[in-house]
Amino acid sequence: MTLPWPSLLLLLWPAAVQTPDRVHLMDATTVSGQVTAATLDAVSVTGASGEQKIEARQVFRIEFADKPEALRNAESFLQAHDYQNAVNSFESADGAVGPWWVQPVARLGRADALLAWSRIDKSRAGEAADAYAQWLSAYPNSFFEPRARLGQARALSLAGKTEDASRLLEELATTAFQRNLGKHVELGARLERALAYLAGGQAQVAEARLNDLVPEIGQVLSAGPPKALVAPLRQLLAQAEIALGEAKVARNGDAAARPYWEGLLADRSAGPDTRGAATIGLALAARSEGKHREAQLLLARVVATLPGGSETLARALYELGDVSRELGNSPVASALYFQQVVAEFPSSPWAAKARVELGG
Amino acid sequence: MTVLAGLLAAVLPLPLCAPAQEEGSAALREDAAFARALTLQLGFDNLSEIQLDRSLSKAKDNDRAFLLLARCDVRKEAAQRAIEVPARLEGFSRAVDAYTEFLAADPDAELAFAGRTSLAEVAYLYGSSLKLALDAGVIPAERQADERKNAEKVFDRALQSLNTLIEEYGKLDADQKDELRQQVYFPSLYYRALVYFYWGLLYPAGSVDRKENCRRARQQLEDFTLEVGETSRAGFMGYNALAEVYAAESDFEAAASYFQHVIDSAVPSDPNVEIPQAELEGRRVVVQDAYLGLVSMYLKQDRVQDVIAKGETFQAWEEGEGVVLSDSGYRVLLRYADALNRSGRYDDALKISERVARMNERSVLRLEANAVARDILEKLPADAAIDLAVLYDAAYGAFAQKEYAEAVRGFQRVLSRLPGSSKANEFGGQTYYYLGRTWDAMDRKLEAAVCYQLACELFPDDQDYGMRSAQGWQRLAEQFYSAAREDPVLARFRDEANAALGQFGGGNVDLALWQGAQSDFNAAREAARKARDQAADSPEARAALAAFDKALRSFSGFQKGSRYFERAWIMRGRCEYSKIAWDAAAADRAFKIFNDYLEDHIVNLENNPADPAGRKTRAEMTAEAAYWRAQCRFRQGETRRDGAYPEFLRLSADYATQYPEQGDFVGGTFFTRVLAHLALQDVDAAEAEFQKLAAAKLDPKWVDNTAYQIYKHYQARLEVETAADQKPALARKAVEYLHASNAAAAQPSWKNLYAEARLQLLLGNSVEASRILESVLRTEATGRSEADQFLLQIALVEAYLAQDNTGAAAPIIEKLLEDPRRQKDLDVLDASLRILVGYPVLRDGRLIEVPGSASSVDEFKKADETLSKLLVTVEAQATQAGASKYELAGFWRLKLMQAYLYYRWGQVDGALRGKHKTFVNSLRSLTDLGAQVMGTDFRTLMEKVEAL
Repeated sequence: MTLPWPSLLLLLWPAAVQTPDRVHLMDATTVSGQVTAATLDAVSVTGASGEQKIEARQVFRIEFADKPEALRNAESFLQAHDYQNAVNSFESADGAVGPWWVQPVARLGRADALLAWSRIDKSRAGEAADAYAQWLSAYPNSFFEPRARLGQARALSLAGKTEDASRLLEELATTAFQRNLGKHVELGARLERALAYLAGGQAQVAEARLNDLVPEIGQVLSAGPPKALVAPLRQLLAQAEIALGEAKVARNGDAAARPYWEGLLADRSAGPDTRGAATIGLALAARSEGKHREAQLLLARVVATLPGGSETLARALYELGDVSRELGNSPVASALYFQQVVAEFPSSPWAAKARVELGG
Repeated sequence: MTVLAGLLAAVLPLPLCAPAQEEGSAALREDAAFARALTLQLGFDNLSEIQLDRSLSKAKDNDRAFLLLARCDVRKEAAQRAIEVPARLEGFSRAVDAYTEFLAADPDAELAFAGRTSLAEVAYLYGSSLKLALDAGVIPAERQADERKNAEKVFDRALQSLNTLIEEYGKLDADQKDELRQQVYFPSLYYRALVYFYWGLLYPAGSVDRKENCRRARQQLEDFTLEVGETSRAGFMGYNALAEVYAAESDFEAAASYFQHVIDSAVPSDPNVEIPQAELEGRRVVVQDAYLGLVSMYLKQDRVQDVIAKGETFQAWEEGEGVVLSDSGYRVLLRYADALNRSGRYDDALKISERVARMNERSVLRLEANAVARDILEKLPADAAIDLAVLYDAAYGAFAQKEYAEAVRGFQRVLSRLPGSSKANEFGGQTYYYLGRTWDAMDRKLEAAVCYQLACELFPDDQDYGMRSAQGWQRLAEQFYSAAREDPVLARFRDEANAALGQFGGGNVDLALWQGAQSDFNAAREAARKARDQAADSPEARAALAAFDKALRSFSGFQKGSRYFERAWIMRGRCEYSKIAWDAAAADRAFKIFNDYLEDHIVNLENNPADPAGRKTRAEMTAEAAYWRAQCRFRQGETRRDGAYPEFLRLSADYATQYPEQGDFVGGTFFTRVLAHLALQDVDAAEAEFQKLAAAKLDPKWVDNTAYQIYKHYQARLEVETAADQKPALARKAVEYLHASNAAAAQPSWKNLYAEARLQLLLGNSVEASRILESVLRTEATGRSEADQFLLQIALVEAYLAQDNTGAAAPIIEKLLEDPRRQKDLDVLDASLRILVGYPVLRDGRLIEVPGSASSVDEFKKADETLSKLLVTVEAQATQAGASKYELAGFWRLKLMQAYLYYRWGQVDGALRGKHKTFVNSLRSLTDLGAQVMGTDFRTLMEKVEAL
């Protein structure tokens, strides 16, 4: 029997019913439809009930549907920490046929991939900063501008340009305040600035800023922020608390930071990441006093109980490997932990150190 | 039952699908039977193939065809058994190869008939699996090209076979046709239509090729449905398939209408119609298929609330009718779970996905259910309210399935939510224990040991898991110590483990007693659930009371010195407390139990606990006893017992500061204190209490519930308040608390948001009102009736008009006026009038004209007609109320509009110029221009309009 249709091999795999884009609002509700524009002023969505313009300050994030294949591939590569392929695929996606947002999202994705790459290969940081700068000049007033500016500052910080990064972050914090872009943007920029100082060896400045920032984030949380911001603000608070401890360690050493970490552990409202970081802090304090076995048992608690995916766990794994090595791989082999941190957190600085330990 | 048998059963009342008579030599028949048995009974598919290959090398002619047909059956069976969808597809594709080879071997007519029929069924099974794979996106990128080739091959060969069957049927005489119509002809028509449909799915949505294939499928299904009878089971199967085709063509409205028709009509609702059980079950399967089609379609369109609504209806039907779930039915539940997850109802979503997994241990459905559960857990926001028991069950399920990595993640998720949870003591010990077991199973001894240690140290009262954990800890600590005997830290680690073992080791008898008593208590709670809202003398209430008495006796069996003595004491009090709903006197008995513990037992130094575990129990039980003792008085206050509320307030006054770590008890205390203050008419105290609650950083549900109670108080006062100058203050308070409640609610109900918007409007905060209403209207309307939707829309119009924003109001009113039912609605007409004509307002003593859209004489005429209708209605209202129309505010608002209309009209029609002045003046001669009813500002406004 001859069929009157062309060969299936020439056809694309069928697309499902078109999925709408989703705009997640600050009040944790969602608007579905086709996003037709997204600027720092407003996001336009066309749905069943016609077009509506939503003030950008009401929008928490935008989730685009039906992404071109190249863009999906690029995101998968980035998620798998395959940065070279991620960058290449984002470049391919840049030219893909699709809605208006494909090009800016692809270019921003490329910059993000370069930034992630810079975390394990700092020589990429300059390229990442340039990619963000180009993006910002190509898409002024885009809804994604704060994200790009934050990325640019992070890249500059990784490139060792602490003052440039600091200046950009100060501008972002000011813009966020003036344009009412959401407290999370302003506080996030300020936290990033403190982190840049910490990374740049200016622990005292970082500590002073974090001492102001931690209670301020706490106050914003207590005041009842919009629902969508609660989780991000809690995350910011955890990051700031951990960074403050690190700044104290950087200034006065592990043992001197012990009371701070103990205080964090005693706070019943502290989240798992904060508790994990505090336990690591106590373990390192013990280790600095020559109590390696105590440090090992404390670090094992973090590795055993802290939910995966966080930088804190990456650090705990590395430190546990390191202290187990010092204890003559007793009762466990250090390689196990070094291998785990490399496998699960390949782009983390702790993975880079673990690779050295593994001889790779 | 195979699909073919199912379809035949659907078109036939009698079992005509008898197996074909076996042919061939005796030895070969035995070989074929053996090969079939290897696959069908033992699952040895490869051995079957080897056996058949050997026999085939010796066979010729029809014997060979006979063996080839056996191989078809073997492959078909193996494919149907495959759990993963890609493996099923591959299996069916291999079966089609076998059928092709069989048909090429020139079998005799009877064998060829059997083979062609079976090939058609395989193509159908392949198509339905392919659809599932496409829906779920489970075909890996590298497999897609091959799968397209396979699909083309399968459908091409199936169509050849089906066309041959249908062609041969057409050549039969009338008697033969009658004999084979149901057995061959109808199934062939159905399968052929579906093959076109599945083929169409291979093309992109909206493409010409998909449309052409779907058009053919649709046409053939329409014919099929008419031929088999529209109300037969096969007819409904045809309608279901038709709906699927419409969905593939993106005609969702038609698809939904067909699916709904099957859901509503496939099982006759007339109780007088008797249906044999098998037929009833078969029809229910068709209904489940329709539900699945409908919810899958909605989900792809992101119509989450519609899926939830259908999921609820489906569950009610399933439970109410005792429906046996088919694969489609389970998939409906999974789509429902997916939708619940997307709308933030994580608990319910997880429970459903776990039920599906549990009921389908050895099926692809288990994998699908696990995937849904994983998706829920991975996306679970850190602050999402979710029952620890649900999270724990998910983790334990992974542990039991030996999916250790997933189990570790699951137990860690539980641990991250323990702080502040009222269930921390219930789940803490076992979570650490099983996390230790999981690490142990992964040979991660150090992690396992510290988990066991944490279980013992953090949950010393958990005798059961404490003992198990201590055993694990001691075993591993001994191993560590043996490897490094000189290490003092490891020596201490082992000693501590041994001490824990000793501490937990002696309580076996007590443990059994405790578990028995807890089991009795749980049974009593279940009985209480059934007796909820029942009278005290109802059988359900009597059963609940008896069950609590039994639990009370069990908890009374612990002697002083037992590890459970104090815990059991508190449980005795809780048993009595639980009886209060049906036995008011139980409140005093419960109070006495808690009070004796607090005022006699713990103050006696002889009863002081000697070990850390005992001290921890003492601290926890003291907090519990203090909470429940106060609650006894609260319950008595609810029944208006004198002095109960003041005593409750006294007893609970310092609870939050004394026991700050008791998250839910603290929340419950604040909540009931607010209720007590309100009942005592001490609103200031209630509000002060609420402020403390808001500052206490508890679960937001407490803020939500408590604020709502205060809102209700102010709202009730607002409704009965007659003094106009008192109303704004009450409204401000009401909206303050309703807003706090809505802001804290995980998912505020639209009714509460609407109420908040209404209050904002009342207070003149129209911008805030419109923001709220816009937000509500942006969300999907499912769950709201059309009348509800109208209520929201007209309130939004009101808010826009209060902001002079006629431009935003106009499209809503235009849309409403398209509906004939709304064309006579007074609110709609009033708004449309104002949008058309514009309207005057007085601000700071000055006249502001809000512009309308009308600019032609015709438009003003139309406005005049609307206004006349409104005036007639208002006058009728006055007559009905036995009042003068001049006493109604609505009358005066319309008169103002009439004056303004004449003014605007006069601007475009010279004949009417100045009419508004005459009009106002004529009103003046009759009345005081509405000042008595509307106030003096209104009269000023009238006069300013007159002066225009």
